[in-house]
Amino acid sequence: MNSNLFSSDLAGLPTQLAAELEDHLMESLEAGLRSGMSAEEARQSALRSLGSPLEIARRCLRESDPREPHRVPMTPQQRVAVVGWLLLAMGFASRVCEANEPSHGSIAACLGFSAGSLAMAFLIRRARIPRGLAIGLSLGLTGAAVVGLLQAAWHPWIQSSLALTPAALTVLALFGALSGGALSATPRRTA
Amino acid sequence: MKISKDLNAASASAIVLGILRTGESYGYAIVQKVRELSGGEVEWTDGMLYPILHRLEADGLIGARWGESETGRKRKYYQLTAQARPVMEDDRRQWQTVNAILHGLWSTGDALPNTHPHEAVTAPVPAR
Repeated sequence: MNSNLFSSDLAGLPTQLAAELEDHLMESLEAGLRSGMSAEEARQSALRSLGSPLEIARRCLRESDPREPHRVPMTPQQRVAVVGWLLLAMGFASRVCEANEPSHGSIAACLGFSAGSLAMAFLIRRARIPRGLAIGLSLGLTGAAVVGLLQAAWHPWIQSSLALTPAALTVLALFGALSGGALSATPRRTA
Repeated sequence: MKISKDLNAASASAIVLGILRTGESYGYAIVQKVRELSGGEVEWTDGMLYPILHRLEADGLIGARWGESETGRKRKYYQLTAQARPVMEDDRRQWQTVNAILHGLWSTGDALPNTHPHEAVTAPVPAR
């Protein structure tokens, strides 16, 4: 059966959606032919059953595009993770701004936290963050935090004010792991 | 009997997930399965299905792969993901709750009372 029968009806649609709808139309057409319709009758019947391909394409694009904020809310765990990283960034920024000679590691950790937190928030909002990327970003931010803290440990102006104990580093690593898990969870779309 | 548009829309995702629970399928077959299961009572417009499938895929509840039909056409097959199970369980509980409520309400009498909406229902006045 010639699948070009519906080419003009599906013109302008995204390639994959057009292929999917074309398969549907051909199945419907073949069913119509088996029931005794003529080729043109079966073709028209298939198109009537499907409805407007352009309208279907428009609705499919809207349904698969998560940019509408009210359709993909962030879970509380994701909000906590993003806010947590931002607070850490603010904490580092406050120390860096106070010091006369902040270390390169401290500055890098500060920038890394800020950029990473904003990137995660943006990607979560778009609901486009793949699981691997979420875990990678979280581990990366945790790593930046560890490096920044270790770097800062050798500078007296931070050593006197921050508790650089193994317990603090453990808490930070745990926070990183928890936020990675929260960020990789797919948000459930509300109605 | 025609199912209302609102009820069709509310139940569509749960029906699609339920059909895919029995195995991988594709668009046209899903529509035919709905017709078969409902004995023809539920008539989805064919085009209604695809936005639902794309939304479920975007939500991560179903996955898709491209294969070939018997005649060699490109065909998109859908299957449930692991994330669908808790969602389906939640949907099942919700529908069962609603069903139980309605069943309880509608099973209290054989038929609905035959009263005009503006008639007051009063007890007969006893004769003096």
